[in-house]
Amino acid sequence: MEIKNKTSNFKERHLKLGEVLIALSICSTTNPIVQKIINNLDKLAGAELHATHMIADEEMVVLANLGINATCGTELNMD
Amino acid sequence: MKTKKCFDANKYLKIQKRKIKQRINMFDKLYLEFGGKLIDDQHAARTLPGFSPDLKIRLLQEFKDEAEVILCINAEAIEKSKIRADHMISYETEVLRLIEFLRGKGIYVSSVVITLYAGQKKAKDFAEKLKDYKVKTYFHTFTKGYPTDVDTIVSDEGYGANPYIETTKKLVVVSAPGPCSGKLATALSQLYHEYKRGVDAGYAKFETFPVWSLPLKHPVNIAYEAATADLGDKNLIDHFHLEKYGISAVNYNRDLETFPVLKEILRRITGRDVYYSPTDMGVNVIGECITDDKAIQKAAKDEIVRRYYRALVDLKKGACTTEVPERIKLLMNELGVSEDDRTVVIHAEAKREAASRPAAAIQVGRKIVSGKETDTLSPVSATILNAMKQMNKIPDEVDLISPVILEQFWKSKTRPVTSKKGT
Repeated sequence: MEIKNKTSNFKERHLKLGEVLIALSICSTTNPIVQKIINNLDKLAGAELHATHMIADEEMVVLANLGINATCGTELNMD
Repeated sequence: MKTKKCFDANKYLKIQKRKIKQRINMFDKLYLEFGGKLIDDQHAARTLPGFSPDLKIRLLQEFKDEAEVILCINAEAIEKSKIRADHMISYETEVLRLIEFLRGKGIYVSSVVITLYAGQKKAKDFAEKLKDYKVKTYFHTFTKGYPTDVDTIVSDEGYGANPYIETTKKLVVVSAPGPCSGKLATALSQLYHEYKRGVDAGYAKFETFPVWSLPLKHPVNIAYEAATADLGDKNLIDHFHLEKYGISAVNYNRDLETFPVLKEILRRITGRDVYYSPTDMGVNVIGECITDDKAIQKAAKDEIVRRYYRALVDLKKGACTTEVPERIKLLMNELGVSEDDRTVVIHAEAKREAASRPAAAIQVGRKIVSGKETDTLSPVSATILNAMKQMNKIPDEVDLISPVILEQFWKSKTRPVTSKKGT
């Protein structure tokens, strides 16, 4: 159980891109600035992105859906 | 972000349509093998800016009154639940998605062929499921004699052993959810049956890459080799074409290797030689529609470098062998490009160095924005938020996600795992 506690919390605390977009959507209902950002998300299509550590599959899918050409390094984020 | 268009999609639609029409008119009926991705061809869109991912669908829509689609799926792929790499969905789900998508675009999908069928249970179950989609399902087995015994292949024991797929239109598009789905065998089997019925049917292939009319070492063609590094495809000069017409054309190794057998099979079925080279069988006119070759070369080189980084990740995950990144690296060397040419890598590494935390960088147009992992955000999330702030001229100190919402997300992610099953 102790191991499970540790492993389950492993890397779980950072909001991934999909969660950030959901959070932004919620905030956009009351904040016009965030609404503007959501309206402009399509401007990221065709952008290039690179992360120094391996990007989780779930984040890769969101990046692809935004039309962002993403790559990453092979190091695992052990924090 | 607006990317400079280097490919004339409107011209392409016009002349590609004309070319396919010419080919249809050579026969009573044309079986057109559609290679690559029928919908959402992101590789083509990335290497040929201006080629929209839905361009092939728009092309098919031009023929919707005279065309029907046959989809092939390999029974082994169903049995092993083979997954399409780009969408993380199985081949059979992709078939269902294709049926729905094509029908939604007004394109007639007449049947599904389960190829290489050998009694697999999952294939039978899939055929049952297809009944709900009101599409005819056929089972084709391994072609006896394939690939060398042409006498048996072109006989009632070979292609003749497969059931004939009922088709009614002049253009029959044969497509599939991925490679190795039996498209060619399906098309040739149909040709065999059509001739027995007295129909002068023809075969042609629609492949986007390699672009036959570009040079062998053109970055667009090398990008195709990088994309198929896992299959080990190599582009070669089509020596059949060169010998017959004195024209240098590019084709890939598997098509060149199988051409002599294919030519013989076609001759046995139709009683004449229609094609003298693999390039002859193709219909693609992509090369004629490139408007800015320099920019296309740059886009293709960028794609190869991205493929290299992705292959290194796949290798780390155990999803490919060491040969895959090695092959891509060799291709990069051939073109004189390196992994350091990817600007965002340099910026992401600099940010990581400065912050001593995992970092990322994004380039939107000419602007480069970086971000680092924070207590609450992944490096990618932080970078995207920074980029959105910059693009929308929002001061850095403004919180885009309200602290209340952030706290709720934070709680849901860090809640003690005792709420989960303990065993």
